[in-house]
Amino acid sequence: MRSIAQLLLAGSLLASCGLSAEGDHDAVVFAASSLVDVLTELSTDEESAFFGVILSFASSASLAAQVADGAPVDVFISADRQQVNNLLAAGFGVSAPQVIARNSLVIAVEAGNPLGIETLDDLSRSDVLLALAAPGVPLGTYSESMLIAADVEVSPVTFEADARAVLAKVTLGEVDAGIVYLTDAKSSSDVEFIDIPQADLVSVEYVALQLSEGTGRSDEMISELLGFRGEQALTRQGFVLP
Amino acid sequence: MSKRQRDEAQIPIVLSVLGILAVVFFVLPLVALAIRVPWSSLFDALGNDATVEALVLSVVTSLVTTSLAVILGVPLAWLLARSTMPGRQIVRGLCTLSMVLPPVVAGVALLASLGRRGVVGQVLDDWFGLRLPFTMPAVIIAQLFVAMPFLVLTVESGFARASTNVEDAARTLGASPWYVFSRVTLPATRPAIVAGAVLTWARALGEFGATITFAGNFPGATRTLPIATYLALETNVDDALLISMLMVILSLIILVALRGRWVGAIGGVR
Repeated sequence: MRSIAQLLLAGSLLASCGLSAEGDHDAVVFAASSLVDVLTELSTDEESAFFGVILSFASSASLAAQVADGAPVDVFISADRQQVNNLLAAGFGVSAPQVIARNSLVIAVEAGNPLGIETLDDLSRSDVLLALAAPGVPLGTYSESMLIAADVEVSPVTFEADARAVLAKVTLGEVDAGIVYLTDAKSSSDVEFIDIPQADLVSVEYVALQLSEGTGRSDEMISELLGFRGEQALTRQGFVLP
Repeated sequence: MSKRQRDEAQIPIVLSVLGILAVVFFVLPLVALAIRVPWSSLFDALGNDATVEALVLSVVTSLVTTSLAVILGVPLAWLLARSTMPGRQIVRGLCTLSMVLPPVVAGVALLASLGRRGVVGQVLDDWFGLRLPFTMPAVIIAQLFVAMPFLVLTVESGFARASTNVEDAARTLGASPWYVFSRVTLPATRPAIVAGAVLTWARALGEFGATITFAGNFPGATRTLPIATYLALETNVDDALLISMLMVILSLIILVALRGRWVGAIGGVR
């Protein structure tokens, strides 16, 4: 059945000279960069609803902007509820958004932790060079809220564009510490991470929004993330289930 | 048939069509940008401290970079064009490689050499407590690294084209090598130096990848206009459009101010 569908799809693509009209596309998923490992794994699993779908990863804000500009997307998974709320307000979405996973904030330090950083308060020490994500990108907003809620004042030396950039500055040894998502810290073997008890003060949610009905398999994909196979893939990368 | 008519008839249609296509290709994005910019808030953007800070930082750093590029780049160009230094081709290649490298790679290379754990940076830190990353000098170094080759190549071709007859004449009249260089060679290559400086300045002003990699992003110290634009795209697209337009206007002002007089010398057409 699937191969027939693919043939039909290929035919219709040829007929439209490769310029796809609305509805004439393979299933497309836009997701926050931190989900790259989870979704890539699912998309290569023949049993998965994500098998063979087109995946696109970037920061949640840029993806939301593309959706708002009319990109043909079936499911959008954001690291930031605000982006989903903005899309809902603009009339996008065919069903209620669902929280599929949570992440948590940790302090990433160089392997061996030479400065002995143990707590969030240590980040305000004058001998600690700190990198944060820029306020405005989700990680930066979360970090800022957490530091304010925990009443810790810091003076970072740089505001990086995303979690991977913060992590890179720590890995290269240019800063002593950075606040990143647990899942990003786990993905790198060159850094150690320190749990932050105050991380509970902010809630980092991954919210999935269904943008199409019918042909796109979008509802199957969202149920899968909430089901057994999705849970396994998510927890393996360090995500916490909702 | 008048001369004018003959000239027009000689332009092949294919060239005209492709040439016009190229013009559209360049102009369309600028027009589209101008259409989407929320002009009514342009003055709000100019009253926004963060934007003004980034604008001032960009102008100051790119001008310092251009000055340093002239001070270091003209002698290098002279060595490449006039000296009999062995391995000149290799030196030229090495000194202009950063122009074609992806800027992020240039940034990583700078970290590897001048970063806190870099080959030289480590020594600077241990001996003098000097750390370059995340400082304004780091922004200038990043710009200089990727932009100076534009000056070197332009000025080198200027030196190569300048006639050596006058220099020889000056020398036979007893002028010292420095006198010949400063009073004869340099004035003759001035258009090439100015053209190279303009290209370098433009490249420095637009520098993004090497800067964010090597110097990071901190308001007032390392957040230049291109970095501010990139981050604004993540948060407020209107702000990003406004800052972009600011850069277009700034570049246009400079190009128009220099038009004909100097910029024509770029690429040897004067």
